[in-house]
Amino acid sequence: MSIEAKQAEIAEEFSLFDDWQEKLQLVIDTGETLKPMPAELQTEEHRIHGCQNKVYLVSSLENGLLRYQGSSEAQIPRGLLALLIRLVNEEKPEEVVQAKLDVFEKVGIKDTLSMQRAVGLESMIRQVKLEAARHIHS
Amino acid sequence: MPVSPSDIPVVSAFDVEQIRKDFPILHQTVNGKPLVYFDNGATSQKPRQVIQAMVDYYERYNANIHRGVHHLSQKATSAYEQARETLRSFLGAASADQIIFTKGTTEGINLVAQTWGRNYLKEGDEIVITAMEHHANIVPWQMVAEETGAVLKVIPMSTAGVLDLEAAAAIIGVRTRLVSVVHVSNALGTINPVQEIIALAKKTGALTLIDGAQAVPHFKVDVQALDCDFYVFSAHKLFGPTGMGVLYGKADILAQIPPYQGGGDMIREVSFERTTYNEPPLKFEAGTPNIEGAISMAAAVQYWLGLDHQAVQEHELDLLHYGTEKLKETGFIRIVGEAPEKVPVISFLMDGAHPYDVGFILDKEGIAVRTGHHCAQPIMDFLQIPGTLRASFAFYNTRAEIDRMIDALHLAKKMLL
Repeated sequence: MSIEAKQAEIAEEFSLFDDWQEKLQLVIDTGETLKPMPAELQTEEHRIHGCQNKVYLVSSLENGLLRYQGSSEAQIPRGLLALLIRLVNEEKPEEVVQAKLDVFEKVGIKDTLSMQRAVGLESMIRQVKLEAARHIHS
Repeated sequence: MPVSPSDIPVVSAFDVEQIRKDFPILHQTVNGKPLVYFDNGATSQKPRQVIQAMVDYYERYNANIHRGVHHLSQKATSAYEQARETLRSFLGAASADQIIFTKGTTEGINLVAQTWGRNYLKEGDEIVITAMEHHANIVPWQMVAEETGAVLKVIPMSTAGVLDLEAAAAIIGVRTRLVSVVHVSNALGTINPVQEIIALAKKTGALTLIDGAQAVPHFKVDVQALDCDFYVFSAHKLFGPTGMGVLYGKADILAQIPPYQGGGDMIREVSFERTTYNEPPLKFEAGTPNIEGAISMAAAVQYWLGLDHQAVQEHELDLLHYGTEKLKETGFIRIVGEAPEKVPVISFLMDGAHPYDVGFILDKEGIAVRTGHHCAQPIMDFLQIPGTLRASFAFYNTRAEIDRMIDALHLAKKMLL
């Protein structure tokens, strides 16, 4: 499934809800689906700076496709990270670098976030793309 | 039978609704809900009287001070020096010359570290602080220790948030040159027995600095009764402006220590060969100062002094007890820091949920609390927690607002646990 198709799928899931509580609950619940990241990968090197709590992201390339792993000690960022990883996993690095990852604005999650959280989300998106770019250049 | 919080009688006749009318910012909605402002430990809100003092200054007599012969300059100079006198009286200092205007608590501590510390500390000398200091009373001493070879010693605390005075007596010794202690912990609300710590320091001849940032908004401080050598605080936590504060110092020490920064106002005579310095306090106030800040800080102090302090203290104590009991009654909140002597600051955790997530949901309900380590990371490391949620009350807060926070915490629990 393309990144665009996955964004449309997420948008549809969120369209079922109007108010911030339900949308946020879906973000939190999505976080529960995130595969645990091995503790040894949760290092300073893999930490995403710009997030107030500790958020980690690491990626590998298997058969030309990206595999991301991530973790966050807080639930809301964990949910955001899970949604983001769902968008970019199993995709080619070039596609991730070029993708306009704007589903968060479209479904109103970004409006729900506080300024600091929105900055955290931007940092996550930037890191996902940097990881993809690293695989292109290596 | 346990006492339910709603059974705690309201002991104060304090008219909080009347007081709230003085604070325009409180009357607004956040995320569609009436604002509940419980982040007073970070900064307090400002009454109209303070805002008006700032406006008056800029509308009627803004001018540079101390060297102008013209009418506006003299008026501004007079208001600025009158502000110093107001602050002298507020702290119970002997002379207005002992009141140095600073940017705030942090600058006050850095000033002492960079002037007294750099000039008088030697290798092996000891600076004693406590386990519950704000970063502003740790880092300036680490910097000066690195430069001079002095050593930092730390008075430990219990998990309840009480300093260990026996350990303090053992740590403060002949090599101690300065004991720098927080009067009230910003993270836990503990009121520390600074009088006893100052007495311990005096026995060894060490100087004392008290960080009063969280104390002065809640109770009267008398620097002569305390007999400390330095006392620092910020105006913005005391219902005044940001970027303004006070360093009080003993007259003989202020006369002895070198200036902090060079520039205008702090000099007596300047030539290319030699400069002589002004007397305190101007010796420590280089450049055009925060004139509007000093004047509006004095307005804040006057406002605060005009309150019925017994009623204010009873009301604040009522908020502390009511809030603590209500939080405990939920069954899912853990209070962090339960010292017997506290200002109305409650740090707490919802086990199983991250403070940031809980704070986020509270904000959605219009409730402003602090989340994180509160610039006191060593406390969090000691208690082995990532941080806390902190509700810090001021006299303009109410029981009804605490009830709103409790409702919001129930919502957060439903969403997160």
